[in-house]
Amino acid sequence: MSPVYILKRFCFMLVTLFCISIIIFAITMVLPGNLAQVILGEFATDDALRALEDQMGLNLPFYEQYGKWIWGVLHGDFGHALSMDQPILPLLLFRLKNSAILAAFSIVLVTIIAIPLGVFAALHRNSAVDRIIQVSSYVGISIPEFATGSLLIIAFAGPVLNLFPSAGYVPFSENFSEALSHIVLPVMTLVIVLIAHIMRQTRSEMIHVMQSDYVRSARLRGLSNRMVVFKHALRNALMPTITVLALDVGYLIGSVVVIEEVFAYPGIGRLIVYAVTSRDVPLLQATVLTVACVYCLVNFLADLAYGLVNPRIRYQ
Amino acid sequence: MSCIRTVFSTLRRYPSAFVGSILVSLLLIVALFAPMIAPHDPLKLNPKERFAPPSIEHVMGTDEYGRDMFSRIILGTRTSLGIGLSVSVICAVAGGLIGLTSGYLGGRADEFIMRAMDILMAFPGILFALLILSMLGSSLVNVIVAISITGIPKTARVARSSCLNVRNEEFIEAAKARGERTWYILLVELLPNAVQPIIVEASIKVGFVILTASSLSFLGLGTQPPTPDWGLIIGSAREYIFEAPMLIVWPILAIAFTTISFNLLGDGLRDILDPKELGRV
Amino acid sequence: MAEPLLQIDDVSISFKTVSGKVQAVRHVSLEVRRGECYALIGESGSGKSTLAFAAMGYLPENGSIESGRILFKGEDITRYSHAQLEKLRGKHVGMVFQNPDTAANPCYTIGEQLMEGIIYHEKISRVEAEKRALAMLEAINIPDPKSIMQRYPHQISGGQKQRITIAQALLSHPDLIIMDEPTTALDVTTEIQFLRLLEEVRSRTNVAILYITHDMGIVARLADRVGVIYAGALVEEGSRETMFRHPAHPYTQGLMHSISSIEADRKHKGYSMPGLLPNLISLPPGCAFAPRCSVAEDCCSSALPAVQLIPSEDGVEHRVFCHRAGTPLSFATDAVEECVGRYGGENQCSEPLLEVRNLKKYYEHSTFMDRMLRHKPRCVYAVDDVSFSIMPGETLGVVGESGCGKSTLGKAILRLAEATDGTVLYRGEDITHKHSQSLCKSIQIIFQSPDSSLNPRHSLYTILSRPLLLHGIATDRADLEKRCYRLLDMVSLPRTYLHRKPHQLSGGEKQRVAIARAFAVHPSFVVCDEVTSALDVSVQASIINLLRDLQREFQTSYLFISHDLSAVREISQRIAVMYLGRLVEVGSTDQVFRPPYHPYTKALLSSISLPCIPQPHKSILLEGQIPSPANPPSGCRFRTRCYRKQCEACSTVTPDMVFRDGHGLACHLDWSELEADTPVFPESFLS
Repeated sequence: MSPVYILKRFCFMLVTLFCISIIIFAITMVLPGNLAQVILGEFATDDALRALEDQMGLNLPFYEQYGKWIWGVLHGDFGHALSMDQPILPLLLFRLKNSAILAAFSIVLVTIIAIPLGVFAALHRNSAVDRIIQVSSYVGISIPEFATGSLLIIAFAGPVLNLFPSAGYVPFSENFSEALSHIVLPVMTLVIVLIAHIMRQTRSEMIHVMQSDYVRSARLRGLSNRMVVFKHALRNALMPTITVLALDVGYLIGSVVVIEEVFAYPGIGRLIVYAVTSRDVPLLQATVLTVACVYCLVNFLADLAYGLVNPRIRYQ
Repeated sequence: MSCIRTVFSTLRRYPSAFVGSILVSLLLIVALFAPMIAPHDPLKLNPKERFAPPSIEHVMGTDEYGRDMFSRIILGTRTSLGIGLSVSVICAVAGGLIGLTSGYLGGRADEFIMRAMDILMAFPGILFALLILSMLGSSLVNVIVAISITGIPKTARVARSSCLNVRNEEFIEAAKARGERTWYILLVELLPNAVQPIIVEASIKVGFVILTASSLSFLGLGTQPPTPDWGLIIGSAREYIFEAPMLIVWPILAIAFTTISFNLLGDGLRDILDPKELGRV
Repeated sequence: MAEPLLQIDDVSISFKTVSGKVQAVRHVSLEVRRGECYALIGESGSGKSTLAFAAMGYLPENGSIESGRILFKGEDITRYSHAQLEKLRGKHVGMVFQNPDTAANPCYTIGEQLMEGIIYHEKISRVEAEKRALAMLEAINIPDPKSIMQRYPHQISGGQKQRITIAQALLSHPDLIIMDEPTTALDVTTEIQFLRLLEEVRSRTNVAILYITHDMGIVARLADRVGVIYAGALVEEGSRETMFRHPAHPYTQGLMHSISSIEADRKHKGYSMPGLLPNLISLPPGCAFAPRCSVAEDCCSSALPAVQLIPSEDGVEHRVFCHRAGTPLSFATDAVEECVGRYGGENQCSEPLLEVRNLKKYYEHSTFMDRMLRHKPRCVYAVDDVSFSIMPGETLGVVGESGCGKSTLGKAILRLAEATDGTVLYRGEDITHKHSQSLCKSIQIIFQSPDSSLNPRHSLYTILSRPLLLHGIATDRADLEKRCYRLLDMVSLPRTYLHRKPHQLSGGEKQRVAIARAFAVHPSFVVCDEVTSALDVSVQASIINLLRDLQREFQTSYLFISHDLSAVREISQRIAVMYLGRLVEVGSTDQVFRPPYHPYTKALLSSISLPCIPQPHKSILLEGQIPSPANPPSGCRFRTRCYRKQCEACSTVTPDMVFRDGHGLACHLDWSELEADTPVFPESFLS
């Protein structure tokens, strides 16, 4: 892979992040309700309000406010969460770690389940197994994740079959098996939603590739079915899947927000929802920017991975 | 008459489009005549009949305020379809226009527009919607606005790539050589050939939007009570998840049914409108 | 007679489709013998490729062999197990495909794809496999085989790839190689390299070849025996000599007459076969060719013709499937009415209709990064300093290989591509950057692919009436309809077609609609951009005839762009030869086909395969690949592949076009030296 390609993708990521940070800042700044008012409460005097506004720099022009904020962010200073009166950074890191655990488990599981399933369905197209996989994946993508989560709670955490806790969180460092049992249901929910998606993608890509000229030519050169499928077809079919997997991380982030709410799991998603409902502007800015960063980074890595497996990009 | 027959015979050859279109028509009818179908006022509180089990009077039982579940589900069709359809129409029109123009213009304008779309797409969808809702405040209209804004970039990309496919066709060059004006080429020559992927994208989007909207309502950031909304019903019934699990199951079934219907229709349309199939229809 | 290697015995193949069962192949029997080259000829949709794939035991999911046996060395491969088929394909039969660009896996190196087959089937080590692959690449004269082995498919050219597929097919020392139109995607100069390689391979090994094609020139060059297939059925088979000299089936005869060839009689119109290929879903009970056959009788449309053996001069079996085999047929065509006086000779008009002066069209493709880093703009020199003129009523043919800029030239004249520099004069007026309705009315274009040039959503009425409306030729509805009907009459399409959509028409019919649309506004100048190359051989002649008729009627001038030298020779009074964006030779048709030649013109002419036995000319093989137009050689663009002796000026100075008697050559060699060149074709061919 040429360094120019990497540099290009990296620059694009930086530009994107810069634009996103502006958008986030702009949107949160025009939130209804004055920030100073939120802090001081309804009964603050005008003088007190004005003093705080000056102190917080709320009367400065937009670009100066933004400059101050982004300067702080770049130095690891996300400011204070208004509603909790504590610095944001430690809170953010703790929540991010929790969410990352959920996401990592899900992504790994999805990858090892969905891709083989998709390949199998493509190779046995229109068979009974394929039909079953197709129908269940259809249902999978048609139910919102909070619904799947709720159904799982009813099934596995209810009075009938109380296998896993329905909510809460235990750190892994404290009690490993407890911690694991707490994330089973959230991870299961995420996996169900994403498997359907990735599997459908892999299946359709695989079917497309299996009909290509080079797969036909590999067959007509007398290569074994295994070589045709695993050497010639799979690699080409997985290339677009990498991109979709990265896009699905965006989808996953959305799902994480909802699912953490369902399972009362203290991750960054729940923090975002909390920030929105409690109108905590600095917290909202910090959390949303963090998540956007993660997503951009994932896409950047996916671009690199794509470049690695695709010789057309590797040798430009 | 022959037109109807062609449509019918085409639909018969594509089972998913056939089933999808029937289910979607059914949903549209339910949504249109919801107040007539619903046996009770979905907003009427009835503290005496909280958590009533399913009966002839209340087919799906009642909720924590004694409101008739069946009526709420039926009325919820309006909310869901309203959001789903209006967002997908807004996205198709706005995204379609952006994409087609960008693709047709080409060059730097195209590069600029598409980079801007890329940046918007770099936001995880629901997060962007959350952010916009936090700015605008929660209401039905704002939900539509928020989800539309997050959905436009994707449609614009679809429209652009479809436009690029058609733009290099020789009949466009033939039109230019004939001395046609730009608007004629765009509207009469290009649009009819580039519009199919946008339609498919829009029909698939309906299901997706319904899912997103219900997630937002569930989080309490979308439509506000007491609007009959499936996501909202699930959100508020969550407190009684073990006492009255059916209160959650009914709206889930409704959401799944609606989404599946639109996905079937969308997939079917994609098969039918596939350019390779055009000669056969 | 050599023993049979592949025997196809009464094979029928059908496909299940949405619209019904397609009878792709019907009761075909033929055999390919050891060491021979069997050519299977047919038009698109005739079932020839299906048969070839079936011979390797490969059919698409919806296809099935309904009856018959396919024997390879006496064993029925239709009963083969999976493992046996693998072995057959891997060891005994090789295949070369039509499109070399899609047949190689983009993910793996050439070397990997060469070696994997023999490693798998012969259980040899990688080192040994690499040695054999290298030896094979060397044997077929691939330059620098070591580096080729390490490259990926997208890094090498199409012609190179097709040669490598031959190497791939030969690596396992097969007894038979099946080739499915292997040169269709290649240019003539690359095609001749490929064919030469094939001849070499055949002389060295005893490999048999089943060669599927529609190109009679290649058949005449390569084949030992020839089979002709029509609508899924074999209609005639015999030795190459018999088939070319005494074809007996009316279809074969028609096909032979409809080929436009260099030696074709230019005084008469080309013969074109009437009718269309029948629908393979509902075939008539009798001979499939009967509806198009001029000597068909009642029995033809009721009963399938039985095989007839016809005695041949060389003793090779000559089989014909026809009730009326040997019935004399007439392929006489009308004489071409030349419109003498408008061009050529002393009556030459003083004022050219269109004049192109030093036209340049560069495509810039700088990326955002390039602009940021202030790189010099990267250009593709598509058309570079081209000048010529066209008289009223004249046809100027433009020939050249793909990527030489001939299509861009046409588009620049129509202002579909904005010229970078230079001028285009129309009736003396500078129109280079002018966009006006009246110009659009006078200058029209007909494109290569009628599938793409007609809007699939519009009916023929919309397509034909639009230019009439736009240019105010017709105003009221009745007049419009009348004129549309007249346009359909003009291109001999039935009036009932008016409300059809393009997809309901055949390729030739669509091209007629495109022609009608161009002529709707009575243009005085029409650019014909590869108008025949997307069509079947049997239709090409009729399109050229139509263009000629229209030219006489409307006194239109044509810029006839094509890579098909035969077609260009048939229709053009003058020819311009392009190489890498530049004109290398301009002259009357007679001048271009005779010495003095530009070295490139000579190579181009000599690369054509003629449907004659033996080939009347010697081919010149050009070395190397066409350079990229983004990075053309300095001096003379052709110098990197030129086979004549070169002077210093060749690599430093761009040669100017030197004219004598209206014949221009851009070469550093002396005129006298070029004039002394031997002619490519014997004089008897060109009269």
